[in-house]
Amino acid sequence: MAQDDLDPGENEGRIPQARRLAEQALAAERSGDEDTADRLFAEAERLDPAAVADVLEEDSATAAKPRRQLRAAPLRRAPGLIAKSGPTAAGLHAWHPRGSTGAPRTGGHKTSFAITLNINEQRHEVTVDARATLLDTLRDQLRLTGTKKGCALGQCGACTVLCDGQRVNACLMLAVMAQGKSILTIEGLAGDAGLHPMQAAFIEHDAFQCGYCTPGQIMSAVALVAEGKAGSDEQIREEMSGNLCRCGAYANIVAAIREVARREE
Amino acid sequence: MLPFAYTTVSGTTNAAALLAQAPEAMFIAGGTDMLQLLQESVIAPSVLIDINGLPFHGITESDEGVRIGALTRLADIMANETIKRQFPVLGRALQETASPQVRNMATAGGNLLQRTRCLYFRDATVPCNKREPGAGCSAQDGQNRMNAIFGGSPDCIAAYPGDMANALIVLDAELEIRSGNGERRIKVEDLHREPGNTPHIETCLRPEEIIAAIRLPFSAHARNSHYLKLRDRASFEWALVSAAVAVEITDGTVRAARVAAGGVGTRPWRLPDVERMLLDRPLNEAVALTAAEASIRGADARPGTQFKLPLLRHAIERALLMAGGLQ
Repeated sequence: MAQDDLDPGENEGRIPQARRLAEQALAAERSGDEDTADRLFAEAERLDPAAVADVLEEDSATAAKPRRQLRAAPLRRAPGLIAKSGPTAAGLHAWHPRGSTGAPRTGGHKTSFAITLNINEQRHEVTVDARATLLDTLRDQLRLTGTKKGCALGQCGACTVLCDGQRVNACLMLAVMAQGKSILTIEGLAGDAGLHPMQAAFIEHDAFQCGYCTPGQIMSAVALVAEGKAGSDEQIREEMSGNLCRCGAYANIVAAIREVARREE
Repeated sequence: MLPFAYTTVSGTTNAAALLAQAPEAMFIAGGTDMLQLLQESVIAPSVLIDINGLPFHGITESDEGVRIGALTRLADIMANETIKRQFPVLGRALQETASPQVRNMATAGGNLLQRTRCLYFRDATVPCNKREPGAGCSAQDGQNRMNAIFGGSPDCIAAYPGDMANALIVLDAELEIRSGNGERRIKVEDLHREPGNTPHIETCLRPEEIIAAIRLPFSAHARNSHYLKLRDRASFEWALVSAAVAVEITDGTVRAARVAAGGVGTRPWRLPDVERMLLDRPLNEAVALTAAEASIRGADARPGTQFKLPLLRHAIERALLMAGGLQ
């Protein structure tokens, strides 16, 4: 259902959308991009002025700077909706921005962390937001862009890295929770002697077309062979099910893995 | 994703206390469902409390059965030799759960508490009673092919999506539940609630309670247990319908039977009518067929879920044939 088909008066789901836009607007403002900030704030206010007000209030509580003035616009929400957005009896309301006491909702816990990540046997000191995934931290902060961002929901496997030797989706792991782990990305796979055998086999078997899923496929394949689960083509296909390839290079991917597994026997 | 704070804990009492201080805080363990829910703005916790430091890891064995710590990863449960031998339905259900990557991250406790895959729950731009109480249910007349045919209400027909819970139910599994006030035990079967008019309350857990462990008793029916999962693609996909069966057959007669189904209920769905049709009978083709026909009693299918009726019957029949050594 396209969002424009919805009557705003009947759609409380716009509140999270408004919050998200206001968040993005704040980020744009911080980076000095006033035009984008204005556009996003206007859009967010159109959807739900109250949600924008909440976001600004939270921001001013932490940032100790003058609060941006709401430029808006009379409340456009339909009667009846406002009552619904209070906390529910069960206290499980998803979008109430503060605890019942009115205290900052983070309860004094930290939202930003200076951490050390062990990536490809090198220590990296980074400061991350609690929300930052390992994937975004690798790509945006450490410029290790070999790990790809596909769905960001754990469904495509493009972000597969090894964590303490086990394959994981870097998009489903918070960076702050990767402390103390040993992370291996595609950049750390090749040694001084050249490409890892799996990388070489992917090239030899033409196991990719556009190449976007390839780093994830290779990391997953390396773990699969190490786990001893490349016993048959059927097993390889099953064990590679967490890595999608929209170009459909599956037959050649299986061939490359089969060859490496056979050589390592 | 909205801002949230993050903190770690190392004791159950601390965890419970932290949650009590910040009612909008949530626990995070493996994070595989949590990160999806955060990315899609389905939930907005104030604080994430990382419970990986709690002593709930690993699998231990006694004369009575097996205890699985709630923080044990799915891949480790699946690979355990005792689980494979004594509780094959569980090993199989996990083998067919998610992807190898996800199974390396996801925990036993988190898997039980995963949220529904209903399209409208996962889309924060449309009404959903489970996400926003009182907002309305978009699935009733919407795209509800993945939704439930048992246990629904006018407020919610979201299906419970997991595999492991169905297997645990036919194994008579129990949960150790901890809080600041001590421990209690419940059956896995009693964990999940039907939606009624409060679909946002999904389990019988109180806010400060944590699942510490799963307990599996050894039994003859557990050793003869099977899982069959039917889905839109061969692997890494949610169940349209799944069948979990555990049957004890002595001298050609069924002495104990447990049957549950996934993908069809608003909670993991036990099928007592099917179990009754099996007890004290031989498990042959005719009995399997008759028992499977009882599986759809009381179903409330929509046009989008009509196909699940024959699919469920056939899945139950085939799983029973497997349990009877007939397939």
